[in-house]
Amino acid sequence: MTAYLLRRILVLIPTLFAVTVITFFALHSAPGDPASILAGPQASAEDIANIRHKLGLDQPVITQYFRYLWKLLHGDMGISLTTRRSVTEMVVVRYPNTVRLAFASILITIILGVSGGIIAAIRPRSILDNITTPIALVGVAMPGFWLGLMLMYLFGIKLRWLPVAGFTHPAWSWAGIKDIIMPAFSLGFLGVASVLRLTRSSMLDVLGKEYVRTAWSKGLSEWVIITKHAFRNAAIPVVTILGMRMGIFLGGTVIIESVFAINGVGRMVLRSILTRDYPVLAASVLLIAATFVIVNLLVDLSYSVIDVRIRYD
Amino acid sequence: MKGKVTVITGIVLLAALLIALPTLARDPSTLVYGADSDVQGLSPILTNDRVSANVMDQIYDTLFVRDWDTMGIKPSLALSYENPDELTWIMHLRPRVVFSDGTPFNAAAVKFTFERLVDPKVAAPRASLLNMVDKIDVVDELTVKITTKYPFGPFPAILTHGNSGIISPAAVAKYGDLMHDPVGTGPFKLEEWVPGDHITLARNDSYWGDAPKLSHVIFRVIPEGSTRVGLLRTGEIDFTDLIPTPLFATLKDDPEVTAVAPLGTPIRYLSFNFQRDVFQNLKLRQAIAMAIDRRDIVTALDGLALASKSIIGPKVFGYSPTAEVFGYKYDPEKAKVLLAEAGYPDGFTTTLWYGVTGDYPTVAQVLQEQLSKIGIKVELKGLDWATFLDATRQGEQDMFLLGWTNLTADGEELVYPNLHSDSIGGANRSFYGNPITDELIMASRVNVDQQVRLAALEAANAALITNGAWIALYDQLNILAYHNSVKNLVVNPNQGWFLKGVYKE
Repeated sequence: MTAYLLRRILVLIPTLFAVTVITFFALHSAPGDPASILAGPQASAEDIANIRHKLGLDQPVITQYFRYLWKLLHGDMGISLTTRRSVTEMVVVRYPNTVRLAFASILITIILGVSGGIIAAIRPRSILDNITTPIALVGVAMPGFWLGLMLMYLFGIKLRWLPVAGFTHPAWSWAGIKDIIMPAFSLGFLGVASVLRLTRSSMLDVLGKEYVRTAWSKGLSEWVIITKHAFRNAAIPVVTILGMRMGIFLGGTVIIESVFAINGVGRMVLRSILTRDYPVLAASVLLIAATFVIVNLLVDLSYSVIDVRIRYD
Repeated sequence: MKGKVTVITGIVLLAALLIALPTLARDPSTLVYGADSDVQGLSPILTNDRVSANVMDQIYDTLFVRDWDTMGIKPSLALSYENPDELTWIMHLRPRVVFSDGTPFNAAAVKFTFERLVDPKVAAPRASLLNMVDKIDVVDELTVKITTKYPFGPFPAILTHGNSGIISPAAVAKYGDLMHDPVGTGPFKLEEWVPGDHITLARNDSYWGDAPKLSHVIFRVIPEGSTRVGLLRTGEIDFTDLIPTPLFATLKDDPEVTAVAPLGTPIRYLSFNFQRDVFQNLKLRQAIAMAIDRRDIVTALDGLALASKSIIGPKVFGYSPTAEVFGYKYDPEKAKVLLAEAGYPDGFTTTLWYGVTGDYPTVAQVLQEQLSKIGIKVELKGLDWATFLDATRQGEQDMFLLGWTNLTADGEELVYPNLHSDSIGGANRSFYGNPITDELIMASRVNVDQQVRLAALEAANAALITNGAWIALYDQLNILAYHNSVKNLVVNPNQGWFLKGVYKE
């Protein structure tokens, strides 16, 4: 187990290194110049040249990369070109908001997708089964930002049940939970359909197995059979897809954080692309990639908890 | 059974959650503004973006401010100026003014600020604002003498520009730059800053003018226009500006919100890359100008624009209504004739470059359709802002669509950076230069007499319009929307606003 964990963590290093190379060079090869943006349309050529020099942008890209990497290895993510703030400081404020949003979205997906899938499986072709699938499919077809704006209009402006936007309260307060409902739903609803359908088919598969029939004949309650005997065995593909969805959610935060005025890493990504703020973008992408890799490592580890037959040696 | 209990508990919880209404804490001494973007920083020397400028307008003062009623210059940190000769500007400063860190405002602070702005090592984005300054002398505590390299008439107007706001030398010594630790003489000072989320300013009790009525101002970052409108309608923010035009109508219908759209200084124009031979042809430029019906553009923008043929707009020093007469009227038949005379009887194919932001994509589509009617096939090249700014500076474009917000409201700060041959390689993205217009523009710079300058700007404007250097399309209306409880809030033509006199009922 420990050896496996170490091996997995060691693999993280080349993965993240590849991420730094790709983001750095992709961004530098994109047209547009951070100095022009900073200086604005009014600036003279001389002003721009001075800024380029001051920010070190007049150095060859490869030199800039190694300078960046060297600093990164020393735990320094650099200074933002636009705000001249340390990138670490900028990330520390925003990362918790993004994690909060991504995990709340996963939670919505689990609650609606998994429970919907189980209900649909234990009562196949019932009314519940017949309505959950179409609802979930609508969710897939609907872009998150549009759903977000519609929810905002209905629950925020018309009914005034929920705050329109923003994380303005502490995460674990009642108001903080209300802050997150609409953004998490907008992001999480997208994943409900695939999780629901997978849970349903996986459950149907397991429910037909002999040991489930044995459990029924032993006279165990439906609750015990569903949760302990059937779902545990049906859960592995579901957990896997949830781990993969994390990547989609982290990507989706770019749009949802803008719509709901959430000060997160996703919005920082968007802004740093628009302003060509290389250090900020590199750090954000690295962080998102690292989160994704770690979540999937946890998913792999969870297999052995869900299914005791799985051992990592 | 257990399952049912869980479901019921869930339903009860959800219902309780929905019923609990969000409490809207509306503190009458705190004003909340919804900004469309993050604040980059709070140093007037090191920033050049609108949202940062909005915050800094409340923290720093400039030597002079624009009087929008008379279009003249009003005193602020400087009480008056005199010109013993054309190269010398003696500024008499306001006494008994202190920075919010308690240090005195004086001639040394002015000298320090301006020298820092032009220092190449500091690399200020707007260093070129003061590139005519030769030297700055402290005459006494409250008198500063500025010598320019050549006579420079718009000098007082330049000193109204937010980027020339006076900073505390002691604060620079303490903090390095003031990007995160602003210290000025203005009515408010920084209290709290959560980067990317919000900035809270508190009343500066040592402010030299009338004490501000508000105790706090909060700048919240809300990038999405429709979200800002939603927050305004529910009262979670008190005011916002620059919302997308289609949302203006929604706000107009809301009885709790006041939405206004006064005429501003920002102009939107179509121009050409004069490095391309095809655009050297005056008849071709005239044909394009006559193919454009500005009324269609205004309609496409929901009526929230003022069609104008003048490059120097109505809210800018140097405008004259006669400019509208010089402009080419919409006449598609004559445009076709001119195009044939220019040597393109069957039209030609070209590209129109623009940044995909604000109104530009809408306007580009209208222009594409209108130009197609006289046989010009326009391929649209919409680029993200960063790429657009860079590509057009390099001269990759054929035609391009862009705007200019005249911050000083002096026409010189429009025609010199954009249309004088000195500025090619800088902001002059048309690569335009003409000996006659160059001379007229220069006359508006080197004359210290404001009446002479006005005449020079009017003449330069007329010449640039008739020569088709730019085809002015419209002047922007500055949308401002606020909750009815907000009083005394005005947006200036250059999109700036000052909160020192604002209060809530």
